[in-house]
Formats: sequence, structure tokens, C-alpha cells
Amino acid sequence: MARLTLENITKRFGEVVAVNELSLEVDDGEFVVFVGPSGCGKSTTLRMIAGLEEITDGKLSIDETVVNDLEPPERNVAMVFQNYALYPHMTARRNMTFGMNSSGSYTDEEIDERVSNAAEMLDIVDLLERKPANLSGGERQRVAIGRALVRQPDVFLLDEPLSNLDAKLRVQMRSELSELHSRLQTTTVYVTHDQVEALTLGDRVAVMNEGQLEQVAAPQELYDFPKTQFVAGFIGSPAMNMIQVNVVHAGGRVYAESNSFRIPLSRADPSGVPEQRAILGVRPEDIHLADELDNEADRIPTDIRITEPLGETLLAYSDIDGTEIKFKTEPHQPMDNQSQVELTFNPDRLHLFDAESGEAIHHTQPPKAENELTINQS
Amino acid sequence: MATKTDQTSHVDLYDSFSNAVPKNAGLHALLLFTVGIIATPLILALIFSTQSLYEIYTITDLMPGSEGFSNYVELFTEWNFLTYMINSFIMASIIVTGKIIFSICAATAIVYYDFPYKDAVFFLILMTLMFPLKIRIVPLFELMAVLNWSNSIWAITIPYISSATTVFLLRQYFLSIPDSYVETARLDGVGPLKFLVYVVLPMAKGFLVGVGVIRFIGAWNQYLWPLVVINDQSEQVVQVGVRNLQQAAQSGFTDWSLIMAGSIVALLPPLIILIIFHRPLLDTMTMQQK
Amino acid sequence: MSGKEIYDSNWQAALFLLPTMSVVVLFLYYPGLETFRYSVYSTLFFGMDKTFVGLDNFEALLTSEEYHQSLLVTTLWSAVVMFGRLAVALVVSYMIYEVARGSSFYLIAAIWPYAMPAVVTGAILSFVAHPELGIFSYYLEVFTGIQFDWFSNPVYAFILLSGAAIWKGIGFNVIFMLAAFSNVPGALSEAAELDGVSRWKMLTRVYVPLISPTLFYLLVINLMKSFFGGFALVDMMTNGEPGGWTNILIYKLYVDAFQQNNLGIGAAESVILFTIVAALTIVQFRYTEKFVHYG
Repeated sequence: MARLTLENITKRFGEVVAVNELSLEVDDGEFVVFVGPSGCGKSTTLRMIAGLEEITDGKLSIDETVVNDLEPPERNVAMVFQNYALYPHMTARRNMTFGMNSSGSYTDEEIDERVSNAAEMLDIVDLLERKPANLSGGERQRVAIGRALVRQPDVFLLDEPLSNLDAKLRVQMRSELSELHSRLQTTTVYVTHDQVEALTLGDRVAVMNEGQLEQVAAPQELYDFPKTQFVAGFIGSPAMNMIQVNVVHAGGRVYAESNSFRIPLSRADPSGVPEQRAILGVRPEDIHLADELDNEADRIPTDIRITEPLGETLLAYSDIDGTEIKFKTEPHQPMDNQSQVELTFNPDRLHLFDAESGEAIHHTQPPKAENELTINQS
Repeated sequence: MATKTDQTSHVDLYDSFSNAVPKNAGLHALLLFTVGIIATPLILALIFSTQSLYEIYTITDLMPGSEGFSNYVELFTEWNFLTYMINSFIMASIIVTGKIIFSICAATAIVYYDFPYKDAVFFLILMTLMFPLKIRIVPLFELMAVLNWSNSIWAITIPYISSATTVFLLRQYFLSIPDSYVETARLDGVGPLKFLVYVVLPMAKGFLVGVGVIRFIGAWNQYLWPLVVINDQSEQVVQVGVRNLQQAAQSGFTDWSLIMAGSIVALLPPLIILIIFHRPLLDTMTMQQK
Repeated sequence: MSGKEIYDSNWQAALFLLPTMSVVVLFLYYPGLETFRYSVYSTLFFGMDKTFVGLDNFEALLTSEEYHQSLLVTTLWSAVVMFGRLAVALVVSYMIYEVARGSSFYLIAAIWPYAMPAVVTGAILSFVAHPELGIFSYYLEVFTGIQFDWFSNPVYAFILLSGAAIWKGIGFNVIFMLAAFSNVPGALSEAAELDGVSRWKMLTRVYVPLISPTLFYLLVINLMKSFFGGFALVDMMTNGEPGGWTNILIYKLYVDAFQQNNLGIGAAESVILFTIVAALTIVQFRYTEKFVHYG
């Protein structure tokens, strides 16, 4: 059990900055997921925690100990790799015990007991005498996790562990990992490029981009209140629509205005949201086909370009002011390509980002939301 | 019909032909013929090696002869072939084992260690490809005399037990093992010898067998160097033994069947090894193409 | 330190390198460089009498007609052997690839000469093609009237020597070409097959360009092998005769250095050979990524 602290962690490869001044605290027993596109520095961060990469700058501590200069085995961390890294010539059991045997600090009974505990927990008791070649992808993954388990590490590190599995198995292993974590309560850092994995697994999710930590938050908060345009675009599928607008003040209210619409931003204070060019973000599920109840002024006319039936919903593509707009709609309502429709945006779920910096300026919220979230631009 | 030569009738004809004859029969026949030609001199040698002096002078006599057994026995009893074969085996074993162990060590340092001037060291090893035996044969011959190694097993083994090629191939192989396998060992704090013996070498087993086969064939077939540096027949290898048979033939003794028998004996060990291990041999050589 | 470089102890690295490096320095670099020194000495009388002669050895070689002839013969021979091996191996490996992929029988039947000692090649062929006793020469005369007297006819001797080297070298080349063929993406040949391209066209238009890196590599390697190999064949079959027309450089080196005991001249010949190895090695380094060969 341990608490992991990253203070201004920086990694440079020559001139290239892979990770820039990253600070984060992972609480004892917490499950934190690093997510981001490839090359964002998430794996490098994990490898620095493991001790596989040297830390160029900053301080990494586990509990009260600074571990920057400790060799990997001295940090008491265990890592699960994307390709499992099971030695092909060793049985599952030998794979799990090989590292422990090496350290020489455990008795055989201790090792046996730990292996049988881990095997039971992971339901691989019958597979222990098999070699990796005779195991399925999912089974190999279990053995790889088992190998990490038997070491009883302070911190569990997982690098894209589900990427090599097929979609169905991935979903199953995902929930099993969740379960495993809630049982063991070991501090865990998990790296993935898959935002669904990130949201479903993490107590908190850390979104990284180009070596920077963009935002760390609980999954729902990340989804509802993205701190930057990057986070807004990266989390959620299909991605949030981004439309260029002008912020204008009129009659003490704040409006997002473009050629084809002018939308009031609920509870935005003109003093906090100055007039400027900005990006309006709307998630596909927050765009609806207008009905007769909708105010005439809020309706945005557009053409449907194509539609994609997704089963539980119909994904439609249209166009507002030259920007492609995706939205989700009722699947059983036929809609022809090229047909003219009118759209409305859910006024309580609009996101405004600074056009230059990409920082969030304002998130609208439903009236009953307790704490209004307005980020002042100072 | 005769004038109709359009595409369809041509295809039909071809189809009915290929239905009557097994697919690719023509190519199979050609292939069999070709490998037959490649094998012919060897098969002839095998037949001649069993013939008596009289039979072998009857040029067109291609029946297995009457002295098959006695010819081979004579090699070992009269012509020192037992000693030659033992010497060849000792030489090849030392070279193969030495090359593989030395190269594993060097490749381990080059791949798994972080040390200064690594590229220079690797380059120095690779550049020995510029000095094949023929380039350094004269000074090497003198060096053997200085070391008092002439006429000894050391002369025909020790200068051969470093190998740029083997180091290079092993380095390639080690580099092809994914980082995560290596890093797993590092996370567990596995020491270098244990890592080498329990992780790397078992993974490289097939590859090492392939390298071993290549090296064995090369070592067994050494000829010029033993011929130059070994004068004492009790230390000589079988390749030179075959030559001795032929030298004897040139000076009047013309028992060609014995020379053929000697050739077969000298060929068998590398041939058997090639046949048994042709798969790892092929895999190892394929590896270089990647 | 990252990736595969998981250990950083300098003394351990040095210990691992020690065996190879000591052999390399003592038995490769030292005699290799000594060759250059020897080449400017005259060492007659079993090395007892060493005198500095400057470039006399080289001058003697480069003005000697015998050496010119040897250079010419070696070059011709290397070219013929290289093309012969590549052509035969290409056809054989393509046939195996087309109809018998994965067949151990054909594979072994095509590559076994790789295991054959050159001495054995020489011994077998010198009898099978013996002008008076050889079955090959006998039937050749019966069917064509040609008397294959390579004891006195230099052309026949050259042909026999080339044939021997090609025969012995097929296996090695087939192994490499098969490997290259099997790395060609399957869909490519299937696409061509669907288009109804003939096998011969497939080989020359599709496969040869695709495996050309391997072919080029083999071209260089075969040149190198025939420049430096061939000693055993000549020693077993022709002894450089008739009239010096099979007296390849390496055989001449052996005779000069170890039969005439003129080590200085021998070293000078080694130096000239070195320039050829160096040139070929540089070509290989420059134009192929696979720059090692199997000795």
C-alpha cells in the first residue's frame, strides 16, 4: 500500500521533451488512468515510475521515500506489459515465480502460497503448468497479471494491458480488472489510449497531450467539465463538435454567435466571459432535431449529409457554418440524406473554449447544479 | 476448330490437360530431374566407393561393387582415417563451442550493457571481416611457430573461435527480443548470468542450433589452414586425409574406390547434421533477411 | 540506460568482451596488420633471411606475367561461378517455392551441397570426369565425340573447375533465395496469378525485382567466396594447370608462400587480396544492409 507523488517530473530525450513538468498525487489504493494519443508521454511517465526510464528533472516519491535513483527492484512496483512479456519457454507457474526466485528473499512455501492465491483469484489454477504458446490471449494476460500479483507490489503499473485482446475479451477483462482492484486496493497506475477504458476503470483519469498533463479528474467530471479543448475532443465518442463563434454581450447576457445562430449561454456573467473569438463545444448527444416547442430563434437550419445507424441511436452528419456537425438522434425516425432539418443545442450542456489557448472559458449547467463552474480568465 | 484460336478454347484445353495430370506435374518432373543431377556425382561416388580395383576400371559398371565393406575398413586401418576423423571432430567441436560461447558473451555485452565506446568495440569486431584467413595466413603461420602451436590442435582451433558474423547475428537476435521481456527481468532485479542462462539462451535455442550447424559445417570443411600448419599426420584432419589418398594415387597408387570411400566418410558428418537440422539452419539464415 | 541496456557495470561488460576481443586482437588484427609489414621484406630460406626490400615484392608481382594470368583467371572464374550459381539456384529455388513449399525432401535435395567439403567435391569430380577413367568423360565422348581432356586442355579445365564450384555453391544460394521468396507477400503472387501471368514471367517480372536486395547480396558474397575460396578445388583437381589457366590467386599464394617458401611474396599477394576484400566489403556495406557472410 502506498501513495505515489510526482512533482514536476520532466523527461527529455535529447532535445525532445517527452514529459513536461508533470505533477500528480496518486492516493493510497487509488486507480489512476493515464490516457492520451500515442506519443503524448503517458507510457514514458509510467516507465519513469517503474524505473525503466531515468527522470530528467523532478521528484518521484513512493510514500515518503524519493525513489528517483532507486533501481526498479528496490521500488517494489510491478508492471504488466502490453505484449504480456511471458517467457515462451517457461510454464505459467515458472513465469510467475521466476522474478521472486531471483530476489532470493522468499522461501519456497511463501512463493507457492502466493502463486496459488493469485491463481485462484485470477481463475488460472488449471493453466499453471502450461506454456504461453498453449494459452489464449486472455489467459496469457491473466498469467501476466498473476506474475505482478505474486510480488505483492506497493504500486501496480499496467501499460496498455488490454490492447492485444479482441473487443469482446477486452470488455470482460476490463470489468475483471475493476473487480480485482476493488478487492486488492493496491495503488494502480494504468496507461491506455482508449478513452472508454480510461473512463470505466479509473477512479481518476489523467489526460495527457504532447507531454503535458491536460486535466486530472474523476471520469464524469472530465466528461462534463473538460478543462481544455483537447480534453473535450479526446474524451467522448463520437468527439465533441467544435464550432467557431464570437462571444457577444447584449442586454446583460452572454451569447455565442455565428452566422447561423445566436445562443444565450445560461448563467454566464458578462464580466467573467468577455467578448472574444471562441470555440463552442457541443457533444453529439446534446444536439436535437427541433420540434414545435422550440423557440424559433434557437433553431438552426441545416442539411443532413449522411446518416449512420448505430443500433441504439442514429448518428447524423450535417454542417453548420462550414464545420462538420455530428449528432445523435432517434434511430427509428427515417431521415433522408440531403433532407433539410432544424437543430437545437441543449442550452445546459454547452462548452466554451478560448480560441487561442484552448482553455475552457465557461460550461453551462442545468439550473439545479449546485456549484456553478466558471473559469475566470485572469 | 483448327482456325478457332480464341481465348476460351485455349483455356478449356489447358483445363482438361491439367485435370488429367496432377497439378504442376511438369514442374515436379523438372525439379526432380534437377535435384537428380545435383545428386548424381555423389551417388556415383557412393557406388564407386564399393567397387574393387577391377570393377572400377570397367567404366560403365554402375553396380554396387564387391568391396564395399573392405574399402571402408581399409581407410580406417591402413590410411589413418580413425585419427583424422577424431581430430576433425575435436577441431569442429572446439571451434563451434568456442565461437558460440565467445559470441554470446560479446553480444550480451553489446546488447544488454551500457558502456562507453560500445560502437567502436562493435565496429572493431565487425571489421575483422576484412581479414579472412587468406589475408593473414603468412604472419599467422609464423605466429603459430612462435607460440609453439604448429602441429597442434590449438593452431587449427583457437585462431577461429572469435566470429564477427556470429556476434553480429546474435546481436540481431538479441535485439529482436521485445524490450518488455528484458525489462521484466530488470524490474525483478534478475542478474546478468541468470538472465542469460534462464531467459535469453532458452529463447534463442533454435537460433543457436542454426548458428551451430553453420559453424560446424564451416569448421569441419576447413582445409587450407590445417594443410599449411599441420605436418604431423597424427594431428591432421580428415579433409587433408582425403588429399593424402589422392596424392598417393597421383604417385602411382590409383585405387580410386578408396578415394571415393574417403570422400564419403569426410562428407557424412556435415551432411547428416545438415539433414537433421535443416529447419533451424533455414530459420537462422532467414533471420538475416529480415 | 533504457530499453535493452539493462546493465551498466563496465567491468562486467569488459569481462564479457574479453574472450572475443583477445582472439580478435591476437589472431586477426595482429597477423592481419603484420601482413603489410611482411610484404615489404624478402624472406627466403624458410624465413631465416629477412631483408627489407621496399615495394620490390609488389613490383615483382605486378610485372609478372604469371601473376597477370592468375588475376585474369580468378576474375573470369569468379564471374562465371557467381552467375552460374545465381542462375541455377534461382531456378531451383523458384521451382521449390512454386510446387514444393515446405517439402523437406526437395529442400534437402537442393541444399545438401552446402555441407559438402570442397576437398570432397574436388575428389569426386576429378574421378567422375577423369579423362581416361571417368564415366562422365566416357559418355560425353560416346555421345558428342568430345574428348574431355582437361589434363591438357585449359578450356576444359576451366569449365570443370567452374562446374565444381557452381555445384558446391548451389545449396547456400538456394537457402537464401528460398528465404527471400518466402518473404514475398502472398497476395502479390496471387494477384499476378489471377491476371494469368505465366510462371516464367512471374519469376522475371515479379519475383526477381522483389528479391533483388537478396540477389545483390548473394552476388557480392559469391564474388567474395570465389575470390577467396576455390583453393581446395584447384589443389585437388588441377594444381593450377594446364598452362596456369586454373592458377587462381589463392592457389598461387599458397604455392609461392608455402611451397616456394617465399613468405614476403606471399604476404604481398595477401595485401593485394586485401584490397579486393576491402573493395567488396565496402560495396557490401554501402549497398546492402546485410553485411555479414557465413565463412
